[in-house]
Amino acid sequence: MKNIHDILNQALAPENEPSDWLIQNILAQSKEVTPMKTTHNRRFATAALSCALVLGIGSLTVYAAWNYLKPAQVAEQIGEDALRDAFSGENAIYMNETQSCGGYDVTLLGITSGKSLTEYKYWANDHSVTSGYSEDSMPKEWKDGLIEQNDRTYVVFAIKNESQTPSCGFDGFSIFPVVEGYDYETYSGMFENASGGHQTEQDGVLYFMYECNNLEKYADHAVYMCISDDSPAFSEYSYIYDNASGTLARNEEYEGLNALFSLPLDASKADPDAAKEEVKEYEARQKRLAEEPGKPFAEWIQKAYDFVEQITPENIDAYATPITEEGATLTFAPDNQGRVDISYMFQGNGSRIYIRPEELFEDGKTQAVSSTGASSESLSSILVEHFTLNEDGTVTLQLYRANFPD
Amino acid sequence: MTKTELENCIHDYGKEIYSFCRSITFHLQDADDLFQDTFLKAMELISDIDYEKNPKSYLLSVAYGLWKNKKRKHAWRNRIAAVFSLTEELDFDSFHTPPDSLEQEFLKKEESDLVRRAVSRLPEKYKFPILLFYMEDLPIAQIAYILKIPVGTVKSRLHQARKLLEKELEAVLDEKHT
Repeated sequence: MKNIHDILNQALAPENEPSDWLIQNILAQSKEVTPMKTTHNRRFATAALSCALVLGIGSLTVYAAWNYLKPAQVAEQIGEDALRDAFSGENAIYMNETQSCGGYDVTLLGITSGKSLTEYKYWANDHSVTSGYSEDSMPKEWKDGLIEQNDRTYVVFAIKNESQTPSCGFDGFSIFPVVEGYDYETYSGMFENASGGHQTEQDGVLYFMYECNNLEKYADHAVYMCISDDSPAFSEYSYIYDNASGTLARNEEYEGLNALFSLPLDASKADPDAAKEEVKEYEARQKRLAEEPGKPFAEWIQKAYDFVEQITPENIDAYATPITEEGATLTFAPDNQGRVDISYMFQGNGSRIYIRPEELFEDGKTQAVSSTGASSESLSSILVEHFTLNEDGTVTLQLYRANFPD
Repeated sequence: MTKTELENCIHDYGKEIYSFCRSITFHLQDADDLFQDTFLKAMELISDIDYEKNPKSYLLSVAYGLWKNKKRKHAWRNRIAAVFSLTEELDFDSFHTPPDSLEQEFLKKEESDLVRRAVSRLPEKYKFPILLFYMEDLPIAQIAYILKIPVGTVKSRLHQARKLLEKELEAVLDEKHT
């Protein structure tokens, strides 16, 4: 059976030969070509001069300024020419502000906002993708589900790990904006809808260009950008939101990455009416969604869920049977953030939670029960999860099968 | 680089570089020009070809850079002159060797044409990784070097491109599966 790899390998195998005439023409012209002088030495001298200046002044910030790519270069590297021009234009704000936390140096390099700065402007309204599509690249079946996002804010960061090169993957971080007066829990969906970005890496530095709907309309408020490795991305552990004043601060006790930048947006570009309209629309949409009746589960699933719902650590042996097969008992140790990454796959069913033990085990208890959803048209796909907090801080998961009544 | 070295280099890598040039340009003449400029530029830039440093990747990166520059320079022209559709303009017939079994070759050609057309319609950010991976048979790290993007980005673009092509080539894939 062939797949897309075989088809592409077969169809794209090089088959075109340059004509003899073309080869002869190149050879004839090659006599006129003079090799260029190498510029390596000059470049090295410039680099050496940069280092000397840094050492002389002794300023880490200046050193950073010499070494990081400019936002326009980042845009060019990720193939966004219009954005490159925007970052070289009058509407760009350069910052070069570095914050160090959680073993990372995070530098906010610059911001720009505007319309039509990319052709990749079609995003899934349900936030199911993290980068945009152009008109000719979007999957056909998505055409109705995608929305055009043409007025955006772009923020470029450089991220360095103090002890190692940051991984190119961005799974461990979340970047998100928060606007003064709009609490994260309620309004994150509005600011983060159709947000995401691109990344590139050079010389051990990870560059990330985050994009979201244009934030300039909120420029009469404090507008923050957060980079967090917390899970969930925003919690009281990493950030402190003051409900009374609407301001946001880092939780200094958090040991991971919880950078917080205030964007110096031009207050004259604030558009309170447009902001009000966006908030109004978002609130109305949220209300609609909340009132929308959910699709009922199939009867058998509902019955199964009702059954597992009643299982507690105390009564689990009456309602479920421990699975003794390999892979059904697992122990997980907390990471350096104090969280436990409980992930497993058992006979095609599995789940993953990344959680602090104190969140999993309520009120100082050492046992907890949960269950997986039905992943197929079968009761056996529902697993009961029994967690035990061990004395050494590790968490043991024992999987059970529910004794569903016939 | 001496003339003999250049001749050897064209002999060794000409077919692969020329196929790449044909796939990224709109016209036969553009492909010829790009191929020629690539080797002449390479002569300008290096004193000799180091066969241990993968000259094919180097030549492909020169071709890619030249094509990007050319496109930038001529971008203004596209605003006033009608641009022919890439897929209409390309002469896909010339991609193929003469058939040895007429019916079999006809079907193979038809399928290859469909695939090449689908690849040619991909946005460039997806098209280049696909061509370098499947046509030039380059490892991901070298594709990253040529396109000057991180390895992870090459991987994600290849993945995305395959997904787009799978949709586009559903009929071809279904045929293969049955």
